[in-house]
Amino acid sequence: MNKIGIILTPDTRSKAYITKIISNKIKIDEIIFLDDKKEEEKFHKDIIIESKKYGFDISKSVKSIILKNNLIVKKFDFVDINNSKLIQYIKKSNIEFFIFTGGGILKKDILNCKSKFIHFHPGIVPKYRGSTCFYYSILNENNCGVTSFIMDENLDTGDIIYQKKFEKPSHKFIDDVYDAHIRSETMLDLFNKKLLNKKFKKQKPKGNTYYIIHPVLKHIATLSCILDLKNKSN
Amino acid sequence: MEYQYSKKDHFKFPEKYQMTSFQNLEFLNVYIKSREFNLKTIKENIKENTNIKENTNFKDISFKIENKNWKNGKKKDINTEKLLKFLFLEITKKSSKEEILLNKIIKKFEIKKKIFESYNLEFKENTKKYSNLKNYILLSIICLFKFKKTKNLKFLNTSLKLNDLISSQIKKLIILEDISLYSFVIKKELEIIRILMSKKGVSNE
Repeated sequence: MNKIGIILTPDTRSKAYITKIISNKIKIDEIIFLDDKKEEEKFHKDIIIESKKYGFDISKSVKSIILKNNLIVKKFDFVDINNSKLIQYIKKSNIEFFIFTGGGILKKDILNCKSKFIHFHPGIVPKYRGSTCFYYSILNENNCGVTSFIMDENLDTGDIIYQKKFEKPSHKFIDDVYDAHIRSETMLDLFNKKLLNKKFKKQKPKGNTYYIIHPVLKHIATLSCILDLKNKSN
Repeated sequence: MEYQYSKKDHFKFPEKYQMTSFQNLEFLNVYIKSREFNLKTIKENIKENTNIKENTNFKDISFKIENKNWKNGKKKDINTEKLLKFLFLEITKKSSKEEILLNKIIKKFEIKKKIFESYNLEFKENTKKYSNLKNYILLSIICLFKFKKTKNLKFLNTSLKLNDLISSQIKKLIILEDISLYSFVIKKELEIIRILMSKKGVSNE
């Protein structure tokens, strides 16, 4: 059995990941919580309702979920994955794979630890690398995808564990709810299908890196999801 | 509601576009109106100055480049304006091998939100000057051309950001060629966005 840990940060994705781990009774060997104690965002009731439909409550902080479920966690008072204190801690750990919920590139020091880091990227690589890929995928293909891979020193180029496609959403809460939902659902497959025991696939180097989406394209993508639903229901 | 992404001075306050809010169809209406207003404003400026040939398609745009070599041999650096003109000429050819260079300069702009007037051969900026609007306009034209050719949204995305930045500096557009090229690039952008909206069933009627 692989020893698996998770590194949580105080954000929406971590809320979805840890809630689904708990509700699906998934065994996690270690939980690390990077918490810079910044005040968490407040959400409108419509977003909260939508998040609950997807199996997590966006209004509940990661900290409150940890407390409510009496989870044993190792806490750090920063959110930087490349922080030397975290690296020192991980170097001593016997965890084989850490699920990393946050963003950014892992630097050499942390990559040199014996633990490997798993990321759930909201795009089918190598076609969709980079930022806000779900919007580009909605515009190009009318659907979205998630790739779980082993993080390396480059952006979204690591060995592929698993890829999964999702129907586009029927609501406008794509950044806050849908993104967290598709990533956390892919994480569940990783456990349920025991994918870490299988051989990982090397990525083709040639791909497409997207940058953060412009609001005009974001609106066209989001409206295409909402209006499509309206057209279907008429 | 107004289109806020070209309102503030992008050189002083770079726009990062992180977690932008969703504002329904009204947002696309104000975006189109804002771009059309800019076109009207710039057209009035052209009238006040002189008659200038309006470019209507990519083929109409040609740049007189005395020296195709965008590397300044002695200084071992890259003149960005020369490079962009060279890139435009190259990408309009059927077989373009300049994709790597184009991706490098797009990455530079997407990260720094600025195009510096010169770079060293490792593509690190070696000047603090970044206010030459022609560079932003040229890159935007190249990106729109690439989008037309490849349908890769990456290029349209960068062009939209460049056009926001140029629009935020519209009062500084005084060179006739720049005014003409800005007018061209905004018209092309609107044409492409309207087609995309229609294709995705998003109507602003």
